[in-house]
This record gives sequence, C-alpha cells and structure tokens, in this order.
Amino acid sequence: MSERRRVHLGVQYNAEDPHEIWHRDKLDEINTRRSFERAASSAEAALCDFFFQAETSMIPTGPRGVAEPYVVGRADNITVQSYLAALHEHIGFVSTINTTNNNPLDIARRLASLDAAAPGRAGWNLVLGASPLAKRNYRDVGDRSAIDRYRFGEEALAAVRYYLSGEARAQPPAGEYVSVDAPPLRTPGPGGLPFVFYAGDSSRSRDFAATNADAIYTNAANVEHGVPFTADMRRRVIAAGRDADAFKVFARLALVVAETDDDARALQHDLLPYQVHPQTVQRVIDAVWGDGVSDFDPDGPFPSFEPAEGRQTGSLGSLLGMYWEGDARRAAAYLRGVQRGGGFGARQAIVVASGTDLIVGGARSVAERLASLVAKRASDGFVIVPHIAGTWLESFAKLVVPELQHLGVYPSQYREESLRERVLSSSVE
Amino acid sequence: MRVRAVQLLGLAREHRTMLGERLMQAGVTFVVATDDDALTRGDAIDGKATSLVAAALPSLGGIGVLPSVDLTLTEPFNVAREAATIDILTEGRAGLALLPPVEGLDAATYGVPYLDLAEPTTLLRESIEVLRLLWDSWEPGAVARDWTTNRFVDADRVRTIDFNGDVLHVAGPAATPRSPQGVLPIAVDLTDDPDPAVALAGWASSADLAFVSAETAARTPPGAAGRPDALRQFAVTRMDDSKGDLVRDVREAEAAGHAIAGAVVDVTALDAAAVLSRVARAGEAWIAAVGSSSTHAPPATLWQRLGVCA
Repeated sequence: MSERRRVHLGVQYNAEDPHEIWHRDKLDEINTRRSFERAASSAEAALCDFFFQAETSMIPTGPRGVAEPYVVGRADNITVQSYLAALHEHIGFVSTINTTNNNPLDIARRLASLDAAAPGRAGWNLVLGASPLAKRNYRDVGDRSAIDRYRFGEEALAAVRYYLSGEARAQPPAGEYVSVDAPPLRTPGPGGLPFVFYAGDSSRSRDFAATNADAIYTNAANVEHGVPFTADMRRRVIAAGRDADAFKVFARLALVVAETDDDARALQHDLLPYQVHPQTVQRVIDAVWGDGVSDFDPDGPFPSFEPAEGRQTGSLGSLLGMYWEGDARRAAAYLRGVQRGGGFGARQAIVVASGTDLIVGGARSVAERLASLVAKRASDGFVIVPHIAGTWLESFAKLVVPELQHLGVYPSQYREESLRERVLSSSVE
Repeated sequence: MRVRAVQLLGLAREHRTMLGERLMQAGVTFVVATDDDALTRGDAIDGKATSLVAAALPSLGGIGVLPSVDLTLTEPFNVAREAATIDILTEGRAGLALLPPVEGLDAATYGVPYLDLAEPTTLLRESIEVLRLLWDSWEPGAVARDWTTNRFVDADRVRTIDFNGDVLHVAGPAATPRSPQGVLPIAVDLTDDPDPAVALAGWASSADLAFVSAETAARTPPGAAGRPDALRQFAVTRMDDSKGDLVRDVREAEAAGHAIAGAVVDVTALDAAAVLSRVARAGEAWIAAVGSSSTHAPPATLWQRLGVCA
C-alpha cells in the first residue's frame, strides 16, 4: 500500500436494490421503528460518519401493478432520521431530497429540523430529479420540460442556502426560475447549509458537484472506474476555484463479511438462495436469451448459445446493472464474462453483475481492500448498501472495524465535530 | 396539549423520558404540535413540525402526536409519507393537524412554484381526500414477503389512487407501506381562526375532528354555517401566566350549544419552565371536575384515544 489514508464510511438503510435480501429467515423486520433503531445503533457502533436514507417519490407500477419480487416502499427519511438523531449523539444523518418534487422552502424547513434534532450532523444528498414518472404524484408546477435542470437545481440550492442562512441574512436569491422575497428561517438548530452530497455521474453532474457540493456519491467502488473518476473530480473541484481536499468521493459498495475469507465465501454461498430467487434468474435468462430456455439450473452456467441477432433485453429494473440493458448479445457476453471471471453460478453472477461493487472476504481482507481502494484514490469512502440486510452491520462493526483501526485508517472513537468537519477530515486521531 | 413544535423539542431535551410520564399523569393523551404562526405574521418560519415531533418522540412515551402541517406550501404525497412514518415510529399513535390557509399569502415570494394556489380551500379539501387515499393505497398484508411465490409485495394489494380533482392530480400509490393505523385521524387546527364556523362548513368539514378556541366557541353558536357538529370538536384553552380554566371554558362552550369532545390545554404562549406545572394544575382541575379513567392505560391507537371510529 503506497500511503495510508483515512477510510470514511456511511451506511444506507433500505436501498430498494434488486438484490436486497428480504427473506423472513434473514431479515426479521423492515421499515419498522425497531429496524431503524437497530440499523442506526449498529452504524454508530461501527463509528460510521453517517447513516444514509434515500427518498421515494413514486412506486413504479407496470400494467400488472407493482413489481413484486423486490423491496419497494420507504418511510420518510428526514422524519426517521430526526427520530434517530434524538437517540444518537454522534453519527451524522444524510437524507436524499430531490429538487424537482420538493420546493426550496420545504426542503429548507426539513433540513433545518433535522439539523435541530442532530445539531451540526445533518446532511443533504441533493439529486436534481426523480423519475419523470414521479411527476404524477406531485402538484402542478407547469411544464418544466424546457428548463435547464442543472440551473434549476443550482437556483433551488441557492434558495435553500438562503433560507438556512439564519442571522447572516444573506441576499435573497433572484434567479431565472427560483426567486425568494421572504425572510430566512428562524432555524431551530445551528443553521447554515448542512453537508451537501450530490449523486450523479454525467460531466455536467460532476461540474455541479464540484461547484456546489461537499462530496459526490458514485456507483464505482473499484480501481478501474474509481481512480480516474476521483482524479477527474479533483481537477473539476480545483477548476471551480476550491480546495480539492475539501471535497470527498463516496462510492456505493456491498459487502459480505465473516471472520475468514473461507467463512465469507461460505456465507455468501449460504445467502445466495435467499437473495436471488430462481424466478429472478429465469427472468434474466428470458430477457437475454429469449423464452426458449427451460429447466435452467439457477446455480449453473449461462446458456452457451448466442441470443438472436438484434435482440433487446428490455428494462430489467437494474437487475443487470444500468450499463448492460439493451443489446442482448452484449449483455450475454457481459454475464458470461462475470461468470468466467469468478467461477460463479448464474445466481451469483447476476448479483455481481448488478452494478454495485461487492466485496466478499474475511475481516482482514475486507479492511485491507477498503484501505487499498482509498490509498489508490479510487474513492475517499464508501456508502455500504444493505444487500445483506438485517444484522450484517453488526458483524462488520465487530470484525472489520478493529482491522481498519489496526491499519491506522479508521478512527477509534467519535470526536466532537460537525458532519462536515468529520467527512472532510483526513486524520484518524 | 397544544404546543409549538420547537417548544416540544425543547421540553423533550430538558425532561427526557419524564416528559411523557408527567404529561400522562396530568391526563394528557395526545399532543398537537403547531408550527409557529410565522406566516400569518409575515415573519420567518420555523423548522417542520413533523420532523421536530419525530425528534421528541423518544421522550413522549405513549403520548399521541398530531404535528401540524400547512398543505398550501407542501406536497400531499410527501405529507402522507411523513405522517405515515410518524405512525410507524409511534406504532399507531399519529395523526395530522391541518392549518387553515393563510389569508393573502403570496406563495411566489417564498419561491414556492405551485400553480394551484388560486383556490386554497379547494386545494385543502382535495388534499384531505388524497391523504386518505394514499394511506389506504397499501392494503394490510401488502408487504407479503412470500418467498415461495417470489413476492416481496403483493401487487393485488397495492393500488394507484388516480385522483383527479379540480386542482390536484395524484396517481399514487403511496411511497410508504401501510402504517399501523392505516388511514390516520385528520384534525383541523382552527385555534387561531377567528371564525371557525366558515372553515368547518367548508374545506374543513371532511376532517375527523377540529380544534377550536374555547373562547371563540363560547361566543359563536354551532351549526350556523352548515354542519360543524359532524366533526368532533375539542375546545382549546390558552394558558398564559395567570389565566386559563379548561373546565369553565368547556362548560361555556357547551352552554353556547357546542358538543365538546374534549379539552386541549394550549401552552404555546408559556415559557418552557412554566409548561409542565401549568399543565399539571389544569389536568388536576379537569380530572377533579370530570373524573378520569387514568386507572387504565390510554387506548393503543390515536383513533381510539380521540374517541373516533376509523
């Protein structure tokens, strides 16, 4: 390892991810008070920087209703986190709020309340838009198809920043889309804009983050994508006239952890039957290879023949990962590549192929892998998604955290500091 | 008890778990947590009652909660999500207290872009309908988690609502799976409304209950403008340092012809240090006059506690 760098960690509750385990034998509760409490307690026991919850603006429904096989539906993130904040002194709380279906006054009021509940520990994961279909659930704001959504997001952020400016009494924003002619909030907490994450990957998104956010949240937790991505973000942050060290990159990551590598592989093997239903495997096979493949072994190899020329997979709801939907031959080649590379059965290959990087290993290996990704500047930290829901985080806290501390890349206790200070800190002391 | 949401968080921080116990001893079974009256005064606005109430919950024990919400400046889809979440966190003791529209509010000055604000009372009436439909859009058992059929959710039990009103169009289903109470009690908080009969006969008539200033009730006859008696009315008595008598207020409101379902002690004007002792004194007087069933634990859900059938 070239250099030791601090590893930052956040944890997500309820990712609505296609491979999130919901089997009753592995997950006793979901979206209940006790399940939120347990997850946040584990995250704080693991000394995570923050506890992260996404936002649901719509439940996708097709002609046959809601897609049945996957976790869907969430509680309101700010409300849950305000509750959890009263129970936890240290961990930060980050909620996604999109600027399309939430007005800036309401966003500011929610963030001000979370900041009152968790003084200095609130964070906002700013996303510009939800699915265009979410519009069906929201009030009429006119036709926004022609607006520049990056500009709109910037103006919404300026309005939120103004509302939270407290006694500083900034100049009210007057933009092309969003203008305010009202006083700032009487913030019940410390006030000021909370720590801002931004989720997005396009070039304009990267510039938006480099200019406006404290951190970016990306899908790539590997050297191949992460190193150029992180270097690119540093360049853009500097180009925006900011200190590159005052900006962090977080990558989405799934983990299967046990004491030893063998135990972790065995655990993953045991979990797979609870994670990917044979029908789900069949659905992928049908989408890529057509309906003719029956009697397929969900833990066997993918079909050896080529999909029909020009065949399209259609949307699989990110079962294949966002980059592989479309041309069936390309998807087949990708799946086979994953299968060959890891010696996986179809079920396991589908989990690995889904686009969220997955690390399976013993405590020492996982700690070294995380430290190495950060040392190589593939990322500054990770948001761990609950593929393996329920109690997985408890073993992470018990097994991996001491190894990270042993490597000198992870703090041994919480400090009295704001979420911004914590996430931007490079020191583990 | 009716309290400002920020005040409630302060009380929760100060008294910790003793807050719920002391309120319960004073006969308080639910708390209405209001926003400040900032909008009406053209002053700045506080944080959001829903999240401030959530932050106070660990101190409230079994007390029910009705955070106030201003539906003219928020999205009913998100309000449904927030309220259902509080119901999840309280395991069935949450409702909503809707605020009347603010006269002459120019929402555009707040950077709020809605095009449906010309008819605020229509908006509120339709929002109440939308909230109920959203809360009911996930049937009991919708989160099936049936591995044999590969169903996390049972699609037959999750419906779109396809609401098409004059101003609101909401497709659904709700973002949040069904909460313990499902459809939550909706109150209208008309405590600060000088002429509640108008609201009660109009947009507020489809709510389940109403909070009305006892003073106002005592000097206005019920039913004058329609069907206010269809709602359960709670008389709100404002406490300040010296005044405030729940029993007298309720009797005067009843003498004016109102059917009063219960009394609410309003402490929004009190300093934090005075709140609990004033509530305890008011509760003592109320229990002495009306009697109390406090030998039993209060009913589990907010619906039952408010004496309204769901």
